[in-house]
Amino acid sequence: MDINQSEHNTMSTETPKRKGLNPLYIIILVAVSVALAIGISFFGDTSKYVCFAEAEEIAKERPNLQLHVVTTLSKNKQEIYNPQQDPNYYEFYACDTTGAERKVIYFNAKPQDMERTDKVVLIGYSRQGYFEAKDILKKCPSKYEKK
Amino acid sequence: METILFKNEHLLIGNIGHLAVVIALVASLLSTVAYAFSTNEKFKGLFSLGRLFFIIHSISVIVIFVTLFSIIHNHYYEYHYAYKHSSNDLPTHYMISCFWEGQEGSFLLWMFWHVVIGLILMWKARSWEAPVLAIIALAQFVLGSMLLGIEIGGAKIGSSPFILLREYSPEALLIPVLDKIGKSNYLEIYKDGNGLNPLLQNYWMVIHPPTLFFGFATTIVPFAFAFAGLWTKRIKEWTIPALPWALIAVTVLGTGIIMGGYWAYESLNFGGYWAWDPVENASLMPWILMITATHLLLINKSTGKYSVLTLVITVFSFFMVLYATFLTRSGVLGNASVHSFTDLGLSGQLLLFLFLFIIMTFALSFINKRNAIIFFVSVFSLLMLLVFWPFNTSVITVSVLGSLVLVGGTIWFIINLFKLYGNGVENDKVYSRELWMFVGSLVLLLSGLHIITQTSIPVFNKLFLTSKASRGESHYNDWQMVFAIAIVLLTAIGQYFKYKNTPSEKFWEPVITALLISVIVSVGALYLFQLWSVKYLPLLIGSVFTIVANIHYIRKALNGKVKLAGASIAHAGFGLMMVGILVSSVNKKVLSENRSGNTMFSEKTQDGKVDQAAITNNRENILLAKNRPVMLANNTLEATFINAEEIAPNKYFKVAYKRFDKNGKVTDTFSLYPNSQNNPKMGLVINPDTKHYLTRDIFTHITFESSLEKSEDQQFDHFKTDTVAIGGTFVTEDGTRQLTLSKINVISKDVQKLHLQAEVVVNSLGDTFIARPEFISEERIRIKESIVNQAGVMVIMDRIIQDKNDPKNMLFILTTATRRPKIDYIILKAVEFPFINLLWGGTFIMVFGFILSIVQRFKEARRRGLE
Repeated sequence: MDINQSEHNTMSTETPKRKGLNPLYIIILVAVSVALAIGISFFGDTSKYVCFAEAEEIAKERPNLQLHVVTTLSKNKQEIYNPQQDPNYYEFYACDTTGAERKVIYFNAKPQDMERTDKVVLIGYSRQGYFEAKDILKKCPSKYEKK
Repeated sequence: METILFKNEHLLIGNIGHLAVVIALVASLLSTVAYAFSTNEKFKGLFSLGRLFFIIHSISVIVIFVTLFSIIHNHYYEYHYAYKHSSNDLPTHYMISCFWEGQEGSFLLWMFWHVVIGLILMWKARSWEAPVLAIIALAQFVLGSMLLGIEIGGAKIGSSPFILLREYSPEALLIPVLDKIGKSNYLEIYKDGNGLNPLLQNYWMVIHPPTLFFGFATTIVPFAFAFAGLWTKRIKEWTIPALPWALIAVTVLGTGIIMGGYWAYESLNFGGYWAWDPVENASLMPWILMITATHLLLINKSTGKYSVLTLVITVFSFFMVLYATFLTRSGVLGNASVHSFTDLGLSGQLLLFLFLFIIMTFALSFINKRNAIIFFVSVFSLLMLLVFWPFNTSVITVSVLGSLVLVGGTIWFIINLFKLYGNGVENDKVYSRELWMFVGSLVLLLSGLHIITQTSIPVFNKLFLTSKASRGESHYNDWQMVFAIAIVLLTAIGQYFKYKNTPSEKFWEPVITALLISVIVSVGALYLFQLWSVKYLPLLIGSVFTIVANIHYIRKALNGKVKLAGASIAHAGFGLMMVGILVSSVNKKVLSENRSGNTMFSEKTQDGKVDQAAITNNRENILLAKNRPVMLANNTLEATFINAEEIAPNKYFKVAYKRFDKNGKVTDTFSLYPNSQNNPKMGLVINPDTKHYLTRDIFTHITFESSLEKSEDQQFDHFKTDTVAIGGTFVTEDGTRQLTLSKINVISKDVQKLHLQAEVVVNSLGDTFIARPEFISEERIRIKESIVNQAGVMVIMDRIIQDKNDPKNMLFILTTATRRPKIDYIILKAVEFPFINLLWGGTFIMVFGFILSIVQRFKEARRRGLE
């Protein structure tokens, strides 16, 4: 009964117009859903700024999620870059904002001017016993002088 | 405090500059007021006063410009700006770059372009002049305040480019040497400036910033027309004069962005023209909004529809320029960007600028003047209160409040506009151009929304104390490719619709023809570009479809009339750009990929195996020892490091390349000269070099070189002892050098003296050397070690023993030790970008199309103005 009724209702309201649905409504509906998807991806699917300990926790669940760690280079520890043996291996130590220190491996050439930098943002993955940096964002104090 | 009379300072020029800043500031304010009042019939007389003040303002801006440039050009290092950004050795054209390296200079550049635009409008805008110039003058006032450099009640207002070095950093006078020669002679020490960042010493950096800022500056014009339309109640007419300016903004800003991309491609080591870096996005966001506004303005001009959306997007493109300025200049991007701008402490002022213009525009949408004023005063002061919140409340509360105010204001603005225009919801026919242009605009807006939200993550973090970060390039690429597909498809079919309605067969016939041609062309393109991936197929076909359909349209519908074909040419150029972007990024190939298996990586996974995933990661750098050819890219390319030559201040590394075809025949030889500059103040800066072919670019840069190694002689280490017979082979402890005891020379063999010399062939990194350790047995035993520096190997012959199994045979006990060999080498990264010229070519065509459109629309606007 109910179903019949409602069917009848829609029929009767639609027929006299004979124009069909305004295409604008469909378009706006689609646009709004894409906008929602953008919103969802913004809130759910971003990388994060973390400390090393958090990065290790997250890596257990989502090993393929790139993470950002703000660090200070540990200048007292020996870095390793021996290009004649392996030009794609650069190893150093860095402290995160909580003071925790980890070994960092960058499978690439040693970035220029690491000596002049102290703060770097590491972007990469926490692995067993080390942090694999995919990217190292440097802030060279000399280049972007700030007094 | 003692007063010191400083010698040799040129204070007059700075005083002139500073005075000009003040005059410019005052004149712009007076011009704003005079122009604003003259829109009212009662105060019509103020009109010429507005003009006068704007002209005074313009002259002052030019004076500031000239003054600052001569300070840089004459090396007046008593001024902080010259000291910080320039140096004696800079050629004149790079001094121009110094000018806009600093924020103050770039604000000045922006003001200069506003002046140029303002004067053109004064000449051309006729009935629109008063309200439009009032807005521009107001923007000039706000921008000018950024150059003021005074403190009021502890709050810093602006940052002056004319500040003296000793004022800026008093510690400049505290250097011990100055006690000897006297502080008054301090300029004796500051004889050279800090210099320009070597990365910016590039001809693109001379013209990219002015172009970009010209683009930013032009966005104010469509905004000013929209604003003036609301203000003087000409809400329908404003779109006509705004359209050609919107096109100019799109063209110039687009050209500026591409120039920046080309600069990044040519001179940065990012290995590409676009990296979705926040700073790059900050220039793209206003462009996307502006191109959307342009399309909406076109619909509105032809049909009168979508008035509200057109106005909203036009004003928001300008807001986006202000927001982008805030993003890049306030320091909020902090850790998120490789590019970095100094925070001059102007964030508050920049926010004030942004909110002032937003709330002012919103207020104009009230029909009742009193309501408008109440709205403006209350909302603006509320926002300012929130920005400079003096109370002790949690940041999040303040942020939530601020966001609510802004969102609420925007909604109110839109509702007001709907009331003002009195239009209901549009009901377009499916076969109408306006509907599909509207759809295209929505797609552009969504694409912009995605970029804006992702780029604003650092702002979101600041406001809501979160710690989000963008997922980077691949995330952007995945999302934006979907939008790009929709956009190219719409661009292909858009023009085949007529406004209002199109007979369906008139639409389908040419579209299907174009589509069929495109599919055939795409198959050819697949072979040509070797783009065998389903993922990229829709974008490829869509882009080809855009090119084909637009060319078809020019030939058939426009009968080849190029003058009228601006839009179609721009669209075809856009399609070509898309093909170029797709092919060059998908098929981008690292030629220097290095999977030699030599790895220092020794970490183990949980089950104790070496982590293979990590080992096979980016191995994009390869070692080239001097004069030793190395094969790259499946033996199709040979690279040889020839020499390093210093031409101050750069060091050029000559890399000779040979290309081979499949049969191993040499098809081409060329040399590239990537260089490095070890700048004492800026550090090591490395510049790539690129070989351009028509169908591909080979991009080369140096990631490391032997002279960067710590130079002190290393101690020998890793001692290892082997017992070998003649002809026996052994390796050093780390396994990287192979040694063979090839023979023993007997120098003397008698009862008193046994003197033997071994010949040991040392194989290091494919090179062979001979080591000759000696063993001398007289009254006592002496040994002479042999060192091969190039291989970093020391060989010692310790003893000679008899082989137990075969007493006739002698065995030699050899000890080896290693250190890093001393060779000249470079670490090279080479990347091939196939068909990148399609991108640059497409850009040229697109810009050409835009220019045709601008000319056409100006003519049209003039015609309409005369009617």
